[in-house]
Amino acid sequence: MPLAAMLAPPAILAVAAILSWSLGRAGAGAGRIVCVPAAWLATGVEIAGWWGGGRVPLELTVPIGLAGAPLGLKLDGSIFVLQTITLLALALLVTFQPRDPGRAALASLVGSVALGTLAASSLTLTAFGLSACAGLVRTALAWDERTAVGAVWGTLSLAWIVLLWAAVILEVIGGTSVYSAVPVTALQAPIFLLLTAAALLCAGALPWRTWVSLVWARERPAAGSLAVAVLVPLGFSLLLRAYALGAGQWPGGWLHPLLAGLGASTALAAAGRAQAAGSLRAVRAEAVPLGAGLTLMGLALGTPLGVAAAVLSLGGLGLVAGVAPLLPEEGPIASIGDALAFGAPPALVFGGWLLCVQAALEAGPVTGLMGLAGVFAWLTGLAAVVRATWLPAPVAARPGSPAGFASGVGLLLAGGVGLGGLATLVAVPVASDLVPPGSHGAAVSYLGGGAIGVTVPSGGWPAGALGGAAAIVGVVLLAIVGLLRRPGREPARSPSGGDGERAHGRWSVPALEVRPLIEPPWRGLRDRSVARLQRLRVPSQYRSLVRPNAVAVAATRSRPWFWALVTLALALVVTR
Amino acid sequence: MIALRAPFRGPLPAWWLLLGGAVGAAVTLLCVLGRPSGVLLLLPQSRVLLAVSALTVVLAVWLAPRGGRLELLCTGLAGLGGQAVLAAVPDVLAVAVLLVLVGFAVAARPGRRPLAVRIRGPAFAAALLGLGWALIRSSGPVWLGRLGALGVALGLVAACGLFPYLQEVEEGEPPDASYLAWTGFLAPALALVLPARLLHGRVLTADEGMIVGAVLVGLGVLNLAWGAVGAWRAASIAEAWRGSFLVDWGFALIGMGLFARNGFAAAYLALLAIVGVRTPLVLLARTTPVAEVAPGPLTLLLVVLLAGAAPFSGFPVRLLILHAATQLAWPLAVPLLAGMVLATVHALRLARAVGLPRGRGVLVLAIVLALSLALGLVPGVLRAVGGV
Amino acid sequence: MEALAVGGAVLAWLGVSLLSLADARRGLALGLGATAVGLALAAVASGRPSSGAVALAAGGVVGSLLRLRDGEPGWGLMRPGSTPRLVAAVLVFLAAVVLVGSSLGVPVGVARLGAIAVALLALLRLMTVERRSSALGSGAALALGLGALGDETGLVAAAVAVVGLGALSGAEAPGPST
Repeated sequence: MPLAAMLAPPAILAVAAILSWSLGRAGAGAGRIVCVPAAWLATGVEIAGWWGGGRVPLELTVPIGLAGAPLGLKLDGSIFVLQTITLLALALLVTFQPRDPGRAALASLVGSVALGTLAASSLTLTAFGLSACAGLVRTALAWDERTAVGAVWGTLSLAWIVLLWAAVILEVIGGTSVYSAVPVTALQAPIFLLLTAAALLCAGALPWRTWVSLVWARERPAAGSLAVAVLVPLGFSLLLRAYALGAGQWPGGWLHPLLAGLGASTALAAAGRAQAAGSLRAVRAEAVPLGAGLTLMGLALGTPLGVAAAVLSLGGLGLVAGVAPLLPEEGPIASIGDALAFGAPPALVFGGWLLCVQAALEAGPVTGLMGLAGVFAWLTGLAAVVRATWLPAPVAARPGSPAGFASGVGLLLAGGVGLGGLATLVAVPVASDLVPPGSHGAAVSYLGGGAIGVTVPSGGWPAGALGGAAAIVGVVLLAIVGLLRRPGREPARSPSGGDGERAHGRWSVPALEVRPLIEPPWRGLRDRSVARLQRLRVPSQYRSLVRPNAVAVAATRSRPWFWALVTLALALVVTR
Repeated sequence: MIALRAPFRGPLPAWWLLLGGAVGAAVTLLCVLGRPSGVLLLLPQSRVLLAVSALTVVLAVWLAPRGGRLELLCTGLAGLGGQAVLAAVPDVLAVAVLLVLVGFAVAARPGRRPLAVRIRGPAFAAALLGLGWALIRSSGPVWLGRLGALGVALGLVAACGLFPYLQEVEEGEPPDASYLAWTGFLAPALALVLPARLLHGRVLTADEGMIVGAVLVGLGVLNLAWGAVGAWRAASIAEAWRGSFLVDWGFALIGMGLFARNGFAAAYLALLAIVGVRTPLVLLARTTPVAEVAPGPLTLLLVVLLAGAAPFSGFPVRLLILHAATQLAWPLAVPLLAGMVLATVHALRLARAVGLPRGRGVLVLAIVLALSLALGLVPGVLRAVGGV
Repeated sequence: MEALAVGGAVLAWLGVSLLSLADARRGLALGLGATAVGLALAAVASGRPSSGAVALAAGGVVGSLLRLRDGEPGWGLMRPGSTPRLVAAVLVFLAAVVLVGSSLGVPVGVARLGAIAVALLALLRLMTVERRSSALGSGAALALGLGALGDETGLVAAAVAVVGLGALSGAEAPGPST
């Protein structure tokens, strides 16, 4: 059964891609009819195969190579979680976003390759998979429009190239990059840093605006949302693998606070951008980076609770990646959806983030401060959602998908209410496998869960009921504000404009001028730096010495004197 | 006969071209058979390259307009013969001499630049190679041997038309008269066998070997950088294509210069990709009109291919070259990585140049993609066949 | 034997110098022929197989005769602007002496001197020439020089190359495409 869980889902998606493409070429626009059930079927087979097989890890090695690397697949608890997250997000997007057969086929293929990459048994094969995935994502993005394609492609190219180097170094030092065979001592800090760089680039978990935010600027959201849904879990999978490679710890105690701090910074920066954003789309673009920052913070703590919290947070992150693109851009549904995506209770996002903060507080005083920074970012994000209700809706507001919203929010709420169960059945086994509790002192129970609550050493709380009352009040308030807010209204109007309209008999409500809650000090820094760099010039008195164009012309115009000069110069160097 | 003649309907080419094609085919056959034995010896990797080159010739003929197919076939067969003889002759000095003959045969093809200009590159290469080899084999002071080693390495680089011995690129020049004839077709055959000839029989001393390796690696890095930046910033699309060739050649030179098993394997795969993938794409780009509408997914996949990403032919090359470089001298991996990242920038530009193929072009594109996929997914098979 | 080697090397050098100073078909043909015969003599003197040397000489003679077919009529010797080529002929000879070095005392070294001088001077001419017939002649001389550095395979390959180059037309093609 675990073999079925390992092989069947990517195979189902791949077959669906071929069928959808073929039907599209034959003129039958039935691509989605094939891809939608395939995505849900793959999800079901994944879950059933893993649970039905007794949750036994499995490793499969095939005696042929792929792209010069030994071909093997591995399925364990963490991979199962990541694959399920990816499949759920993919299924939501494929079901509720309109796609023609060709694009549906490409989405299925991307999902298939992503699942295969997650299950790769070696770092080299993971790099191969990441490269293939990046290429397919680029194709999907460019097929619709050119916005943000360059940023995505450049970042992902850097990610897979860096990861490839990490894999090569691991093979040179350790003799292999197969996860289960790499000696623990082979994972040294430089390799780990390369791996981390690749992971963070892929997941977009960095303090500056990354491709994860930039794809939201596209007019057609389908391909961008697919990229986020597939690549963010893939990025985090590398950090989870790092725990496995290091037998439960990273190669250097200083790496934990460093990355936890980076996670907190990412969350703070994302929240800062969200509260200063000029449109609802720009606010929504920061939901995943904010969640990624908090997830990274939890994952980097190096404690079993931190890893368990990160796994749960990752689940919420994956669902947000699948739900947020389906939200409309005006109305109460938009506000409710945004609130849940930014950590309002009682959804899975809220539960995961709260556990991350709790884990940070429990891990020590320094990480505790980071946890508090995470809380500040969280609250700022929620404030940004409230502020967003006053932002003008785009000229062509997306209607979203009410059914998609209902399905996604249903999953989020179910995850939130059932957080205890998820913790017990999913998060704790994964965390205990990656970071054995015994390695961090006495093997006490670090996370427990009941039907509707979670328990940690520092205290338990009912997942569904916590903040439920506040959530209900908040939802009602947001709904009221959403109904009162008129679409397409300018945020600030001069008094004369209002008098003019009253003079013509039209009644206008004074609009609020929507300024950022906190003005980010780094606003415009990138543009100013770029402008300053462009103004750099070689001083005029030295320009005659520096003439790269002349060298280029001489080199490319078949000038024998240049050839002779170079040859002579090299001859002098060599013979001395 | 009528059915065979049908695709080649059109005026017969000049008798000397027909003769050249026939001679080329005959020479290729002799080289494949290894007759006369002792004089011609084709290594397994050269056989694979020859097969891929034959496919490229077929694709080029397939793409050509009906009236010029026979002429192109004859030219292609003659080119195959030139490739075969450069790869099959074991004596490096004889190869240098034949390089002059092949160089003139290519330079005599109708083109925008006069013969006297086009022959300069191959002649310079032949002189460097021949004189360098002679100095290596002669007994004399140490510096003479070093000079010879330098000559051999530079001769190879010059024969390939790489930096600093770049040929001028003329927009609109026929492919068989342009840099493509050497950089994209003939020179890979020479590059594939020359390191083996140098290492066979312990011809080089340690000093000389180090010089050959260092020159190849150094010029490989330079070509990688020059090609990546040039392909991105070049004013003309022809220069951009040539830059993309320099990137692949950069990897190949570095792989050869490292004198490591993985490095040779990377060079071998890179050279196969140059001949079997990149050259047909250049030919395809010349025949398809530039697209005004948004490109389709097949063309978008080309961007991934041209950037060297998985699952296409560029990935195993990068994996193997990084492996070899990291094993021997890890700082070398830094410029390699920078070159790999830069090489992704120009991919879109070149993919747009290929445009939207129609009719025969679609089949050619599909074959090229399939070959690139094969090189990318199962390079082990090709390595086993080539004995690398 | 040493005298033969010296004589052959000098003849070869004179032949290639004539070739580099000539711009018309007769000068090219004579220069090429003299180069081939000189290198063949030097090859025999240095102990290379005589069959290879004969092939080299024969190929060179045939190639030089083929050069008489086309190109500018006449000798075309020492035209205005040819002084640098005269100087180059001397300098190349000196450079070849430096490269051959201490082995000048034996026939092998002398033969090598002639071959290197021929190859270098032919290359220099090829890098600067614009006319098709002169390029073909210089290319043939380059092939001869390089082949003469090798053993029998090189000599035969040079002979084949020279005949092959002789078969190519030296007439300038009309228009921008030649």
